[in-house]
Amino acid sequence: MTRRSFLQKILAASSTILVAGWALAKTVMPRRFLRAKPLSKYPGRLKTIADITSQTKWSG
Amino acid sequence: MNQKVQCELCPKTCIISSGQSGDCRVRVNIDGVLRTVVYGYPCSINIDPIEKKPLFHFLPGTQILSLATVGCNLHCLNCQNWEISQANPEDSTASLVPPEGVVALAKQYKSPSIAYTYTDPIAYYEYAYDTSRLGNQAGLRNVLVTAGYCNPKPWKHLLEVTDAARVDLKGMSDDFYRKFCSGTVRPVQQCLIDAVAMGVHVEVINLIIPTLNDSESDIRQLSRWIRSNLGSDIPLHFSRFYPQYKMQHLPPTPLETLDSARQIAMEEGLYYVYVGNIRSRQGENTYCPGCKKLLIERQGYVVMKNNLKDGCCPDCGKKIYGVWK
Repeated sequence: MTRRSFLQKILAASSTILVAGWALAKTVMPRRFLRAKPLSKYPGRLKTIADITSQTKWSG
Repeated sequence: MNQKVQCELCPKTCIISSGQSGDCRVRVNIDGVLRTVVYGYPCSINIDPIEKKPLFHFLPGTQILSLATVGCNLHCLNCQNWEISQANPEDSTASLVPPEGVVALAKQYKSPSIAYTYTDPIAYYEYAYDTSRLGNQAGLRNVLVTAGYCNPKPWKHLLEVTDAARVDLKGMSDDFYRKFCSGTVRPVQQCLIDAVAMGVHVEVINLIIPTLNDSESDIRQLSRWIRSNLGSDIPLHFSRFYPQYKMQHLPPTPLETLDSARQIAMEEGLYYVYVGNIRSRQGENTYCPGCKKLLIERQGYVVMKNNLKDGCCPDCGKKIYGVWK
């Protein structure tokens, strides 16, 4: 093996390891979010607004 | 794709797998993107007296459009609103009211302000923020009724569109917060300090629970912290505990405990200390810290008499902390 082909193989192997490592880290490391994006569809049931002047039972 | 996301809104910094929600139940990882499922979907929307929040030094005697979505980032064992705060959105019922709809309702019912309340606005942060921004533009005031469990950056961002914050300070130790609320105290204290520093009107509430945080030293420690870090002017409300949710084994707080707490807090140098969730003769009224004149007389949520003149005591002229018009 010539020195050039040896270096080429080392370079190729290192690149493969780096790319694989980056892909793995991307999967394992969570993406960070501060602001959440709204979801248009509510997962629960929908109702029309009731009389908003009536006293609510909720505290606060 | 099974990309995890991390929510950096509150100190819990939940790492959420795809298809799962954070601890608040309403911030969900959908295909590697953090989504809020309650944006524009309040489960409750009502007109309340502002004294119900309670806010005693902010537009007294006015009505406030109050709303909440389901979800909360804390899980207090004594939560009075646990049916909505601890509900899963998929098991709940809500109405579609986008931010502009909330502002329109406030205008329609001539409410000068909007409260983000009942559960915790941190859980529906984006909805509260966008509505507040629109409300500000429409000349409305915004009030947060919150436990203040939020990270500094988003909290300060929200405060930019907030006029008043009524913040729960539930106890003074991490141990108390961990055991009974699934949180810690330091972020709450920092939120309070930030709110005062940013010029937001602040009132603090402390729920006194028999045997858990009702000792004289608990009350003194809390009062001293408020005086030293926020100032003597900040109103403090002691609220009566009733057996609720997962704390049914404790009795309601005796009135004497609340009255005694009020005395201790005033001894520690706080000017405006109130007693709530129960009728109390003196504990509902505002007195001038200078000359002790009765300034605002209240019965329950009703302002019976307001003697303030341009936010000052009519007798000695002392300026009273608050937003009065």
